[in-house]
Amino acid sequence: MANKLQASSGASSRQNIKGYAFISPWILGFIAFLLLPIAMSIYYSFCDFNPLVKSGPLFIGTANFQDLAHDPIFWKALRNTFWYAAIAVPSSLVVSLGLALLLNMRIPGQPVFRTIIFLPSLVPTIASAMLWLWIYNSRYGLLDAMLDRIGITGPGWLTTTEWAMPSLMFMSLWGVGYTVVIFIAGLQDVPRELYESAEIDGASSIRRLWHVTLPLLSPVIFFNLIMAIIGTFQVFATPYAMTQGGPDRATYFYTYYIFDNAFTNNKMGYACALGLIQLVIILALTGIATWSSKRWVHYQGR
Amino acid sequence: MQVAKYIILSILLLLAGYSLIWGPRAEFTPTKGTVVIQYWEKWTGLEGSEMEDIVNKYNQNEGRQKGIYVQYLSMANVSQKTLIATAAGTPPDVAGVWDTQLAQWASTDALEPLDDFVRNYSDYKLDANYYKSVYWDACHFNGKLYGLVSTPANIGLQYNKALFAENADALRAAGCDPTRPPRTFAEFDRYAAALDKKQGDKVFRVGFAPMEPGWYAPQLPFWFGGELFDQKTQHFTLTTPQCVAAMEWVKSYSKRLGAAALNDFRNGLGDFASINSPFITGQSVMELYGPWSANYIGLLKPSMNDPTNPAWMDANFSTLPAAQRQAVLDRHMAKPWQERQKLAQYAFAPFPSVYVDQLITPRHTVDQLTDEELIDNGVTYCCFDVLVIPAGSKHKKEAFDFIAYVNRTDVMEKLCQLHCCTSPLAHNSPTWLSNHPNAYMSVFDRLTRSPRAHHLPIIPIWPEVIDELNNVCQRISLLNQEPADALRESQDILQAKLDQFYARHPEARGTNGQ
Repeated sequence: MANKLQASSGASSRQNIKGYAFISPWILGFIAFLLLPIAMSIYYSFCDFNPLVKSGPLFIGTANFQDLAHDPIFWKALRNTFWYAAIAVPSSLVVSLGLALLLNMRIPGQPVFRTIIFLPSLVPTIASAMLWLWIYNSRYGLLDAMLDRIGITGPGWLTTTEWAMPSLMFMSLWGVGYTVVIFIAGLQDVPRELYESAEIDGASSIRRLWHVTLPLLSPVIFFNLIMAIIGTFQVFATPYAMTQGGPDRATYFYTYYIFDNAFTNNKMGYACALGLIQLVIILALTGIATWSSKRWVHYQGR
Repeated sequence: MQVAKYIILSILLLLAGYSLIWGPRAEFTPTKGTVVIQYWEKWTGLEGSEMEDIVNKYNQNEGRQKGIYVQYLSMANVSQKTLIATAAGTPPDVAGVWDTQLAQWASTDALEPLDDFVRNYSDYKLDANYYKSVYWDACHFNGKLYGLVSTPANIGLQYNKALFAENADALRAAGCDPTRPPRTFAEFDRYAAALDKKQGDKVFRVGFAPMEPGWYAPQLPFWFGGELFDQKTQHFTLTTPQCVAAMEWVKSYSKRLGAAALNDFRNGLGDFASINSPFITGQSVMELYGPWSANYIGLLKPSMNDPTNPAWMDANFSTLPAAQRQAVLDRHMAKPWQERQKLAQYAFAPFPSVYVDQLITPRHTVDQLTDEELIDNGVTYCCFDVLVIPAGSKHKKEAFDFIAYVNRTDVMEKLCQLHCCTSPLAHNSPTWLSNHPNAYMSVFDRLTRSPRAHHLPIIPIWPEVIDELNNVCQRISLLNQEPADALRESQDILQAKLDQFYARHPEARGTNGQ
């Protein structure tokens, strides 16, 4: 008996070693490229760290965070990012859900419509930015040409402080293809019999949407919400290519400010402090969303 | 099916093997004992390949004799890549960056001082007398030399002669002479207003818009007799009356044209390096610009260089075979510069300045001003690309040899002509001006020798400064803030940033930045 147990424990430890050996590339990669940079970034956020200074980072305690409290550009970038997220996150969810519902209907040419909606997501961000620069162009742009036809003169979409941010928000809807695909996958998982029962009970299509589709789709909505929050707080490439954060920093986003501090101003410590705050904000918002999800996310089989 | 698969695979393997053994090779493979230096440069496209030609010449001649081989790598975002490589201890031996980064990098000892190399260089005499003082001074930080110029430029007034002629009546009605550029600020404003084309709330053409292209709007105080920074006291001077006057002037254009109309107009403008460039399309008649514009015009709209070029060429020039394009450009360059000036539909002149304004008296009117007076009292802003040796370079001596080669008169002149830029050298060959693709190079050249030629302030936090100043200009031109208030706010923000930098890096504090 004792021999049997010993043999089985030996086999299990051999199995464990094999298991660890198989996952070791990931563990090493995780430590080297994620855990260590995060830990160093946290340390650097308490340092005056110019990567070009030979003496290396100089520990300055919480000075970076104190400076941030009095930095008008930090507050402006933070305000811009929150404002963008407040509009772009719900609108992209609503638009993509609406599109998913339409594309889930059994109509002729359904795969073609799905492809058309998904295609813009495949266009690289910078290429999309170039395209939209032309769409927003007041002399040759498609948007102003259409508005002109109904007698409206378009504003300077990207050159006025009032319109630059809404223009970027509107443009963000261009890339909802991925979210739509996830919603469609979720919609296909909704059991048909629930719709049939609701129909027998006399529920209208609006009621079926409200009482059947949305509750059963809530885990997917929750997932897309979290991804959208994270995505909007990391917006960088589009304003970098289209507006360079202007005019008058109207489209200057938080990640843009991190980039400028790290790679233009060589203030890596300050950039790390900004990054740490960004992490805390994203974690807090994700936490709030997760906490609130208990009330509105319904998992099947629970 | 299986057989076909193996056949295709074998063919591919054979092709790969053939390419490896007999495929293309680099033109020159460094022999054993040759020191290979890495050179990272920001220029891509045409400018990048022009520099590559110079590198190749060095490798084939001087480099080969001295046992140095330059490996040239043209890349985007060179400063960020050099920053990361330098921080990692594996920098390139030579980096082509901007003057805006020189003080920032030098203040943290991230660049090798070049003074000893310059002193010991024996191929030709490299010293302060070799360069125009404005460029030589700008290459220093706290008394040490940290880089040598690659291609410099300076800024003047670019104006569309053809549109002046086309709107001669309107200009005359406004009391302006359509045969010459404006000379004083008062005149300039009249010219600009007369050349504006507006219908209702829509602007179709601007005589001048300070923010178009707006690259040098933060430096406008120079033309108003002001400075942005006092090198001696290390204090910003943004609240001086001259700086406020410059920004009030920016504001006056937004007020006259209407901020919303101007924004709408600017939103419709094309890229400066395209056929839709507002100067090329005639949407912007006068601009604060550099000499390189002539290169773009020559490539994008040949008829602006020479109206005898057929109109079809304008739309299709870039699609013509390279040899045919070059033939057109060569034909143009074969003409004497005086003739090229006459043919050109555009011209360059000193941008008005308060110093010229001060020369005007009831006895000495604006029309009596001589060219000498205009140039000698002219103001210009000199900016440049710079070659540096990042700290940690493995082959400093060899790297400097290449930098010095680029600065040799014949090489520098060739590079500046190819890039259509000013020369940083105090003395040039007799044919330098006449062979320059910009027929107005003499204007730029003389301005760089003026005592009022400015380089950018030597400040270790310049990237933050210029970002803030650009935003000030935007805010003012959008009429979002009064100039005096915006400048006062920026003065406080920037001074606090600089003071903090010096508090943390006391060794970087210089007395005069030279």
